[in-house]
Amino acid sequence: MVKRKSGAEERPAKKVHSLQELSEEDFSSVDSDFQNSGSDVESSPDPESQPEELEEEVPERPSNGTHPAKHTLSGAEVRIARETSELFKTNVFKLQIDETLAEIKLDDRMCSLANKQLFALKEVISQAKSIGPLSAEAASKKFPTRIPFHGSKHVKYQLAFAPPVEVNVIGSYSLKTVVKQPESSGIDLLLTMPSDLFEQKDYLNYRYFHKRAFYLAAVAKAIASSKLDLRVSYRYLNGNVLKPVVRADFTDRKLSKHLHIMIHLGVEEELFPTRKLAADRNCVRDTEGPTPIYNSAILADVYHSQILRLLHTASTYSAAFTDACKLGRLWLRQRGYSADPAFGGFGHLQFALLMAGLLSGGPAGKRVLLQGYSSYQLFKGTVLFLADKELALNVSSHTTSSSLPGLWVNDLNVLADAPEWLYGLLQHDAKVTAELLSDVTCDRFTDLFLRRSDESQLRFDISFDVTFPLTEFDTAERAVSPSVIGFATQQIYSTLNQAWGDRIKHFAVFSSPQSEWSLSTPAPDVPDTVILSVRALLDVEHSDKRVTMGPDASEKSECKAFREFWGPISNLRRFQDGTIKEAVAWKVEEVNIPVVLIVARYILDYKFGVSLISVPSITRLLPTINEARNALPSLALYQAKIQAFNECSLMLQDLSDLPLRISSVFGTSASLRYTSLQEPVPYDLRGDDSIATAVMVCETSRKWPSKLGALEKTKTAFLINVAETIRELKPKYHPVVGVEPIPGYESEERGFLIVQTPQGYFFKFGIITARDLDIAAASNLPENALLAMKRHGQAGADHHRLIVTMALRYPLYSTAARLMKLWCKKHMLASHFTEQMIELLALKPFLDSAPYSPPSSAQTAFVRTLDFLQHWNWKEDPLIYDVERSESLQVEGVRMDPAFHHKLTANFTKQRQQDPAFTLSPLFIATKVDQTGILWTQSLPRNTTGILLAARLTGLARAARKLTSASLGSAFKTSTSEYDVVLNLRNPSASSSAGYKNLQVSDASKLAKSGNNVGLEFFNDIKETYGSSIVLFYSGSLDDKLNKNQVIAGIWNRTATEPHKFRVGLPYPVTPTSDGKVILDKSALLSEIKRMGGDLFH
Amino acid sequence: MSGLNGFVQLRLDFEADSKVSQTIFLKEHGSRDDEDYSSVFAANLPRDTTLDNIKDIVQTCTSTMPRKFVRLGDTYGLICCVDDAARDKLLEWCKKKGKKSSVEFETYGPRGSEAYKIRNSARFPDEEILQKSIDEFMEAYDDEEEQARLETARQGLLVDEDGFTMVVSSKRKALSDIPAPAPAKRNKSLSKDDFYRFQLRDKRKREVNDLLKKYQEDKAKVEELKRKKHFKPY
Repeated sequence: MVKRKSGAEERPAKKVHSLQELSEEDFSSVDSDFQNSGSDVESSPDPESQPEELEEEVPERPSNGTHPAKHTLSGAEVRIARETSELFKTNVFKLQIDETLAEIKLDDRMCSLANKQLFALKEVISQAKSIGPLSAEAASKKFPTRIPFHGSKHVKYQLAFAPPVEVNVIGSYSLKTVVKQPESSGIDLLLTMPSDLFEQKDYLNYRYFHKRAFYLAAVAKAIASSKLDLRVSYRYLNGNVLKPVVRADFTDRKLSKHLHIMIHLGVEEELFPTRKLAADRNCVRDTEGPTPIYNSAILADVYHSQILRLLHTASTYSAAFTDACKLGRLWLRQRGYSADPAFGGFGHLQFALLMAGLLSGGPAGKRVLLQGYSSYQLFKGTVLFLADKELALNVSSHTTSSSLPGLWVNDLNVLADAPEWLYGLLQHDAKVTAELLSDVTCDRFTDLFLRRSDESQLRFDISFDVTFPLTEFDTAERAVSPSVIGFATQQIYSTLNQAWGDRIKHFAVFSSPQSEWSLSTPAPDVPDTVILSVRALLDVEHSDKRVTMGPDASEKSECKAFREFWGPISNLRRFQDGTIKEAVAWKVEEVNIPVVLIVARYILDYKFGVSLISVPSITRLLPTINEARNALPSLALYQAKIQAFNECSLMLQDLSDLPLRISSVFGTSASLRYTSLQEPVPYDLRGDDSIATAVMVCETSRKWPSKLGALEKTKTAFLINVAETIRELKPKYHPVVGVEPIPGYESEERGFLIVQTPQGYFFKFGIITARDLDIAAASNLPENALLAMKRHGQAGADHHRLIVTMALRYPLYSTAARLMKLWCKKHMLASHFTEQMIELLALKPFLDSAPYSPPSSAQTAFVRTLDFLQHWNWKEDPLIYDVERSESLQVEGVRMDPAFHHKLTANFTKQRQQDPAFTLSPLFIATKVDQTGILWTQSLPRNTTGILLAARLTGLARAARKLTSASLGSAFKTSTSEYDVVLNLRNPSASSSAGYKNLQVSDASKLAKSGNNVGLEFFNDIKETYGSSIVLFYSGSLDDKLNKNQVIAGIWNRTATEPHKFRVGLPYPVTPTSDGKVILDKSALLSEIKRMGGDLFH
Repeated sequence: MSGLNGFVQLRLDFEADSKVSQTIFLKEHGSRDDEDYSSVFAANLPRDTTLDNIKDIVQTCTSTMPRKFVRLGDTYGLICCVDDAARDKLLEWCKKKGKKSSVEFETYGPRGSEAYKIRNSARFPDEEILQKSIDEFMEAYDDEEEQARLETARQGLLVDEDGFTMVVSSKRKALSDIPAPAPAKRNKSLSKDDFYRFQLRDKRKREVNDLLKKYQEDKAKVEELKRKKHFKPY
């Protein structure tokens, strides 16, 4: 059990200042207060006084001051409400920060438990017996614990141990910014080694590190042989082989889940001439040039205390500092950054130091953060600083305006180990965050702090791994060089950076972190090879350029350098504008392999002889017409059809001999907005949407009849008139008129006009008038017929235009939307969801991209859509898009007009009140063109299927998100195991041969045969008929006629399968039960379906 | 004890699907007008029931032919027998044997791809024939509209409460074309709401109250999120 000193409990909470009340006077008193306690922390000469002192470490979080007590008067609340809206973004934001900080707060009991062990540990270390001096050989032979040092053992100097002059808690535990997280947090314990163990020249040639390693081994041995409840092991501090540390894990299971101890070694500040350890000095004599990483490894041991002092000063100066540190810590963690250079080398210590630097005076003495700032303001200020320009700041001295990149404490760069890519990527993430923080419309808290956004599949556009050989280093060098992996990372980074140029925005080269090892085993060797993971954000405007431009032929030396870099594939080329340039042309053999990958593959092989390991993109799964594969990028195929459509529209608008002029023509079909599943190909009626639909609007006229039947008949007559005129005036076009029942209102027919263009595309036109919907409503059409009419008319055209705009604004949207359609089809959801709804869902990563930038790869877009779907709480949250273009922002969707958002949110609330059981539309997706939010998501008549489908969408997305990028393809596998009924259908309209070359549309019987899709028609018939007893799904989609063998699957409706009272007119066959009730007769129903389908079934 | 409100039951065996059968429900049809005398009301019928199927049933049970089959819905209709004797015989047969023996249900008419072929070719009628049928329809429609307009005028429906007659152009064919009078616009209030001190005071009070209300709403919202365990960053 935890025994606590009563004194600690009764201790009054620290003096708390309301942030605004904190004046300069307060500051000085707080500061002097701190000076005392600060010196306590730094030096504790009397071991007897230690227990009390450490007891002070028990975090006693003062209540926040702005926390309202339970029974506050409303006056106090008003004050709070006012204050927070000034100091924090919004009240909600502040409350969420409070809740989150409370959530990640480490239990006080854990700390007091840990403190007890810390005293005992300190006791053991302080009373450990001195050892030596010994010769290195003697030490390694006699010493029972392995010395974690790889360098030469044949040295003249001697190794020794004496108890440390100081034992201090440093780092986040002492700063009280330690948090609860899935892995345990480290308590950093600093042992300051006595100076008399060293000579001044020890900073040279690894001597210091050898002695340090021996000291560490002695400490480890002392702990291991003590009776402490600790398990000891070695590990490299942030992967630096020069800097082993001892990790001590608590044997107490509960405690070890939250905390562990890391024992660091430091030296007294005066020991080494720090001037000689500056970044530009050489301290390893048998190498040439400066040894900055080596130097900073020593400097870091010198400046431990100074860094601690800087942080403590900041935390006493600004009341919100520690909270802001925790926010920063969480923010970094969610983005995958850590102090380990394998993950960027920017951890919470670096964040805290940066913030401390900005508090005490920013670059060139310009103060960036102010004392009275709230935690939110401190965090935001720091992020804005990171976003603004490349990181370069000296924390300890503001008089010298440091122009060197990095984060400096005196002459120590705490980012010395960090890879070069850190700066760009961190700045990018900071920019993204800054934009999210300035979103005044939507609550971005979750995106900022609560959700992980470091998963490669979601975060980056392209990923591959490289196995890089480290054999360039000889074994001895590898053993002591802290930078072998850093060196490999840098090689790959700089090569790819030069090769890619503007094709990419930012990229990272991650390596894997190193693990700990036990005291009795030798320190692990650096391996022969290292696996590096390259992750890049593409620049969509440049990434697919087929040519890498070099310098002009006249610039001889530049050309030479260019040729040297690229090797034999670089050639002098003459370009269209007449210039002659050195250039590399890339041969793209497959559309699905991006050019950046081809470039990387070549250059890594040419420079290092390494091959890259990558997973092919899932875009390969998209159906494609064989002839078209590899030949043209799919957008070109769409453009060809759209071009033909535009010509056809102009032709129609030009027709002069008509009673009314056709004033405009709108496409309403997926293949005319870049989102049909299959790429459009002329003369081919098999693809989905091969006969694209469109609507014609005539000049306004009051002559249209005002009864539905007569109106439709008049329209048909007009279409016949159009067809005749086309035949007469435009003989290259082949028109044919037909009639079909009005969807949902079979007793009336409407006409249509199919036109085959000279290029071999088919378009199907209907006429819409302004009063269509009013007349239909007056004719008492059923609501589903009205809905269909609305979708077919102006609303459909509006949606169409929106998607066209989006597809042109985001070149990858087309493929992403098609992937989404394929996925829905494979899970038989496409037979229920409207295409338009899927298109709207696929817009999510582009129009509302937080917490990322819009994707530059279709696969990433697809995965992000799935990720959104798995988290989307559609019962409570609407999906609202701002389709206006936001200029030069990193994130899309953060500048929505608050009034617009408010209006659509109100629509959502209203819709939910009207549809509390989700029988109309579980999903709400609103845009400027559909402010009801349910035009494309509702299904009529109201039913309970919608909520089932929405839940299935969530479930399937969740399952797909469990897949790695390598196995993502299996997300597209159809499974019929979850259905009650599976019927195998043979679609007579399906055909595997392309062949209707030069099909003349005037041959209407042929069109009737090949233009229709019997499988789909049959499905739609039975889906509607039996909807109340069985929910049916179809494996085909729209005009999908490439596969004869299709599946209709069903799930029985529970209300029908339970015994119920008989009533006349039940829409399904029943069978009597013994108690006078009836129950759904499943076999009779299936038999009925089979009789109707006849030869459609096997 | 047939719990089904006096229905008798009859089992149908499907010719196309020998293992499956369906029970239909029959009872005497009460109404006795000229059209549907001697009728049996049948429910739970297969959707693809045709007159031929009904003929099979009636013939098997009564050895007579039904007069006709009136479909009332997708799954129910009236079987009209030749006379009351035939009707009673049908019901009697079902009562006695309906549960044991059964009647074969054959599949009549086009199905599957054949049915869809017919349906789809009907979508492309000959243009001239289509035009002609439209012309006929429109002629009838125009006559009807004209009639309705005259009727309306004759009845004086276009005279409003104050005795004014609404003049309608002869070009307007239908009543629905006649626009409803536009609702009167309301004058915007001219009084100012920030003139008197009490108004300003009220305004400030309102603002504070709004702020407070918003704050309390926000608090409730975050409480709700907390309850749902929203604040789990890992």
